[in-house]
Amino acid sequence: MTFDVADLPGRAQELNKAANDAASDTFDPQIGYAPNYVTSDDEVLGIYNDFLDAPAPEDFSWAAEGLLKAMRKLATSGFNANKQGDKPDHPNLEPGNNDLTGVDAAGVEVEDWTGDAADAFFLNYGEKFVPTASNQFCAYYVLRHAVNAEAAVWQTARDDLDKLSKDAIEQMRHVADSNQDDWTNALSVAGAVVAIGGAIPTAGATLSGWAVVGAGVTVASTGMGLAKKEEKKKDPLALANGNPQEIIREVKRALGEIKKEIKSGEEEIKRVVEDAVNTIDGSWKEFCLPRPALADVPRKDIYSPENMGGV
Amino acid sequence: MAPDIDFKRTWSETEVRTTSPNEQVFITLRGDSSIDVSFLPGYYERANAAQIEEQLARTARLVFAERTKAFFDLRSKEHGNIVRPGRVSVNDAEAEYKRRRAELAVEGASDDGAVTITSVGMTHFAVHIAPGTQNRVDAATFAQDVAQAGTRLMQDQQTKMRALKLEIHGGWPEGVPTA
Repeated sequence: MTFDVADLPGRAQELNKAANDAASDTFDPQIGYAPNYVTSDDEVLGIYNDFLDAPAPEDFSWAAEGLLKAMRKLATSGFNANKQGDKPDHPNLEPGNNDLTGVDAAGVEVEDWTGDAADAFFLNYGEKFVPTASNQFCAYYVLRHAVNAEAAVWQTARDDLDKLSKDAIEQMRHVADSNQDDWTNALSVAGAVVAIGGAIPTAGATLSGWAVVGAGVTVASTGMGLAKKEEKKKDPLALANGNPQEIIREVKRALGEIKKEIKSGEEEIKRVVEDAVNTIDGSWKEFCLPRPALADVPRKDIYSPENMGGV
Repeated sequence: MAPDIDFKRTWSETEVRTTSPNEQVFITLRGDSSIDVSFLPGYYERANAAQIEEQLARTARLVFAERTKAFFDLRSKEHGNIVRPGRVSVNDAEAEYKRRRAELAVEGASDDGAVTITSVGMTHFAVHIAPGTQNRVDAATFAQDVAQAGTRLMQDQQTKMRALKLEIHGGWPEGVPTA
């Protein structure tokens, strides 16, 4: 279950109480408080304020689900609907949309149709319909993974905040102990960022080249959704815990790292989406069939020689 | 979050019991403030002072190792994850603190002077029994003397550790002010 950032003010209160207890425990009536044991209530209580409105992964569910619905309609064959974080050995298989074969079948239904219009229909529409749908599927695929990656960034950011805020209380409660533990914090946001790159179909479209555009993508053959998630290994942060002020400084440093990781994740997602949009813009015809000329012909003129090729 | 426990109270009630290598001496620590010492019947009368000193010193080393383990077991329970003693120094201050803690010499003696226990870094212990003690006091009194010396050693350790902690981590530019 995702950590609720609404709990952060409570964690800050616990941290502040532990800091004040540590100051009281070391107070000497003759020499007063140790300078490094004095912390600011306002500073500690507001330490997590920048994260109180951090989105929840669930906030992105509706968008991801909507994109998956579009993918189901555009799937020219079966596909794996797994997303980042799903177990690769538990594929979530979705069937292809058989309705997409209807346009090819139209050729059978009107096989006696000949002439320029018929040639134009088969050349510009009939033969391109399935590859175009497949390319559109790819576009939705990339967008869905970008949305899921966005959710994953916030999921892991919340996990990091949960662990950091809990550990900080524990460290503060024992700051005056003679024997403290090593305080480390392994941020996990980085893993989600890499998953975006790894989520791109490996045997077909790629974000940078999208080489299969025009040929259409055989969805089932690409291993789509079987994201090759290469977790980026990060050295855990080694945090100092010698006195209360040091602990507060280190919490702020770790929060700064979390912010950096979120920003880095957002930039990676932005880059991926921009690449995809540029690819689509640069190959628009491969993603969007031209509107058939007949669609704009008045119904009474549709059988005229210039429109139906004399049939 | 981990279950909410009153750490100080729970620790003060936590008992660690250790037996000497020759299985004749028993030491029980309760938190950081109470020590019980006992001997297998006849051992105090039978053994010579040097043998008792050695067994007490070795048992002290064992019981404080057990104490550290129990302390971090309780911290793990409090936190909900495994917590173990620190090994790495993140900065120079921590490195100095750990170095001086390992060299910290502490001592405790019984009121009657029968027993003196010394330690360096709470890992090396030495016990000294005043000459003639076995002729002067019985086993039960001697056990109380050892417990009293041990309790005072722990108090000395806590006082010096606190001073060391404040000296290095307290933040007074000119050192801890004198009262």
